[in-house]
Amino acid sequence: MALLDDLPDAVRATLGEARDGEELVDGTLVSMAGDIGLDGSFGERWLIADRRAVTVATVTKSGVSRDLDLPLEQIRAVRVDTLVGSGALLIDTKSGGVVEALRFSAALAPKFGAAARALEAIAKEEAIPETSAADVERKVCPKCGDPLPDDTNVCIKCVDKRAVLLRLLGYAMPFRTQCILIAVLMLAGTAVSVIPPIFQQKLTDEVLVPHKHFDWIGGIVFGLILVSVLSRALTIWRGRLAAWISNRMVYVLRTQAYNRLQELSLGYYDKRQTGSLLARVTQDVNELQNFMVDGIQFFLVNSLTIVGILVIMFRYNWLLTLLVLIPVPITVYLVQATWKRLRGRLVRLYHLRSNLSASLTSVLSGVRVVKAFAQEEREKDQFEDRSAKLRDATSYYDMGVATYFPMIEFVTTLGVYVIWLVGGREVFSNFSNKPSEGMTLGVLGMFLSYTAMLLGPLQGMTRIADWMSRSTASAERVFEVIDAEPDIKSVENAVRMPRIEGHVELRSVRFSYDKNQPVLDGVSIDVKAGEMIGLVGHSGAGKSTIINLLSRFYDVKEGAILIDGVDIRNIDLGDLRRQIGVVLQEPYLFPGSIADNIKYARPDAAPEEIMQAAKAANAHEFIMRFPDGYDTFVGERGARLSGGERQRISIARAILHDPRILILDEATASVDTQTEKKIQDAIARLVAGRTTFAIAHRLSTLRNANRLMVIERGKLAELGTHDELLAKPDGTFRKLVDLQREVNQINEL
Amino acid sequence: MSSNIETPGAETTEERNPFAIRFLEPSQVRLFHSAPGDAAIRLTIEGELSWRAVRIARAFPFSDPDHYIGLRDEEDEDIGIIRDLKELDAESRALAQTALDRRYFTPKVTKVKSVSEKSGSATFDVETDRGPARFVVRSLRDNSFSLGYHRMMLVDSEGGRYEFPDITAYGNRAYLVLSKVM
Repeated sequence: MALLDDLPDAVRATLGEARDGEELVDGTLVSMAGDIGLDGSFGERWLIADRRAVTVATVTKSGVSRDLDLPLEQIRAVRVDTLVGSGALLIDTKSGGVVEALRFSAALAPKFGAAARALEAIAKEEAIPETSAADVERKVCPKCGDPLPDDTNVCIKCVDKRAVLLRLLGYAMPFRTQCILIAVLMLAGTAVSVIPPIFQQKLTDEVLVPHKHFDWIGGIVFGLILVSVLSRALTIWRGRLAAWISNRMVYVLRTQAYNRLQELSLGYYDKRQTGSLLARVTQDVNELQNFMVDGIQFFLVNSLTIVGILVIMFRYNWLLTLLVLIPVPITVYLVQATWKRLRGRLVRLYHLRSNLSASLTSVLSGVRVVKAFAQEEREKDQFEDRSAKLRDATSYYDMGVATYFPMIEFVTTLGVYVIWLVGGREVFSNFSNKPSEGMTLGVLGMFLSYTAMLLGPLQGMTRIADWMSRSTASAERVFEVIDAEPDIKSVENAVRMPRIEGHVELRSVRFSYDKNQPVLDGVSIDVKAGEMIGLVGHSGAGKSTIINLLSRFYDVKEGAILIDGVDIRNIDLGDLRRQIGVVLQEPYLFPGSIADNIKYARPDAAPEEIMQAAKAANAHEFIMRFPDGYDTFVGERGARLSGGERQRISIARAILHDPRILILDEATASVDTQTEKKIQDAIARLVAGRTTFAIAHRLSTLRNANRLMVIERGKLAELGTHDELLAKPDGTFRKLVDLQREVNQINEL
Repeated sequence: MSSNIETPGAETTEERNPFAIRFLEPSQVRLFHSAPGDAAIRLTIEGELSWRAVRIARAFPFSDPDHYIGLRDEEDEDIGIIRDLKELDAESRALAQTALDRRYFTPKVTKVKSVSEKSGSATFDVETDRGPARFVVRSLRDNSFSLGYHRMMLVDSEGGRYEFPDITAYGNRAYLVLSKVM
């Protein structure tokens, strides 16, 4: 059972003492470990309850002590006090006191929330509310034991890099024939590209130095040209093929990531910044594209070239080859060491750059505020300051690059001097000028060419590890999106509901966005089909949350929501969403025409239907006044519509959608009184015959509602008709109405 | 709630501007427990009112933790602000301090034993003023908050908070990880 952690023997022993050795454990109803000690530091404490009392035991190095033994009959209520970064379990006693049982870090809040409800139920001799392990236990990675975020089972730490690369390569499987072709082209290309120095050697040793075979010159030069053309041709073929394949792989990846983003529920988005998700679908995928188009080829071609050149050089003169290779490990080491130094500077530079552009974005979008408060000078100063920091960081980095790389280059070219020094001597002592008998001028030239050809690939290879780890990181981030499981989805055997009647029931609904702060705390209501319910309460009381739950953007943590008697979680998600319509306070219009926006939920709607909907929404008049009528382009770059106009378009959208359950979220909040009247009329037409939940701050707009739910701190404080609630002299609603009347009077003055 | 107020009708003794912060006169403020072992903090403003259970919260928990301490009633409505804890009498001050320490559970990191970072998530193994801790911060950039020069707070994947009073004090490795998001 979820409420029972395994009691350590020492703790159990102290309990036994306290109760004259009576066997406790079977009778134990709650035993939970907390993680904050008596002194407020991390420490182990136990909350234990049986049918007689609540006990708290503290485990320290010196032993176990019992701090609390509270008989159940003294308990009036049990609650969790949410603190900053931690929480406390408080017990209200019947004598009017408050006892703090124990404290726990934020991670354990869900666990002790369940404990509090269980304890209260035990004290009142009610049935213990059902608690599943998933509600209570921390989600940890089974491999490393680190806590996992709610929304993913992928532990970034434990992702196997090779597995990621393999998975990435898996995307190449549909193109395996082409991949094999690429490999063949690479081999051929590399073979061809290492040929020219051999021709040069022949030219030198057999034509130029001995002054013989003058007629060979033309042939050899022609051969060189031919090889060069062939090499380019192979490169072009391979490059085109690779571009074709890799872009198709990336396309699949990007589409998968985007499709998954569409499927994921709002809870996933709450915890992430839009920007970082955007980055995954664009930047990270681009990074992968770069790697797959250029990176893999770069790696393979370079390795083949290096191997090919070394084989040839060894065959001609193994000793000299080894000497030439001496600076190579030094170079590799230097390049790595330099990058290690520069990486810190580079990261700082990236960060400053993104800071600068972030502040630029925020100031530009807030330019009205800046001007209104005459803060231009300050913004100038701040920008200058940031810009100067970026300037310094960039020049520090650039100067580093400018210093280290010429030095490294010097070390890499040491091989050349070795060839001149050692090879030159050998050439001098080889009178026959035959490669078989020692070093020749031609072989010397060939070595020089090959050494030059080696430098680029060798330096490149030192960076490939870095490139690869960046790409695997990108791949991990993209795969994390692809692998994320939507927490809201249709269950198997979901109930199909082609037509919802609209009977909605909330049964002691509990909900919280994060684990610590309950937003809804046991709300119940039974709404008849076609009824209009007004939701009233202070901001933050939980009104919008009820709406989010009705739309099933989130699932209730406890309790249930039933539509026509079926648990909302068992209704086919498509059927549910098709029959729920939403009009929001600040309606979002997509870039496109007004008609596109109205028919967003029903793309196949006929023009007449669109116009009827707009007419009913009091939108037809102003739409026809636009020069482009229903084809008027709206959205970010489109026509500037007023708040009221946008609102009426969104109402038309809802009318055309024809939902059975309608949600109005502050639909008239941001418009003037005259427009409000028009919107009210439109809404009245929309509401008819549909179960409606409406949030409004202007309480007068809820006069048409059949009943009002007054929500206070996540609880249903009052429920009744407008007049009933108004008649309660001390009621919350009455107070709100009075308050608003006062405010309105002030406004009228 | 009216049941908290033990001297009913007392609110009319003084007409106050409801839109102005009330700074409490420290000599009139008394904080105490009604019985030993009782967790509730009682507040009496001498000659005026008494509350059975108040909450204590900092107005500037990061930038000025010792000043501007808010007293709030059971409904979490503002009663008033104490400008400086030091001005309270010894018993009230100690009680307020304990309550604040209880409310803000933000261990201060004293030593970073190990830190590893991968794909923007960091795992810390640390010593804090409240004992050893190990925590994971997912997407470091979104969960780090600069509290001033070289001072920052991280929020771990489960809502736990950790303060780093001086990010240069934990060695190069930790500095590299922390300074990137500073």
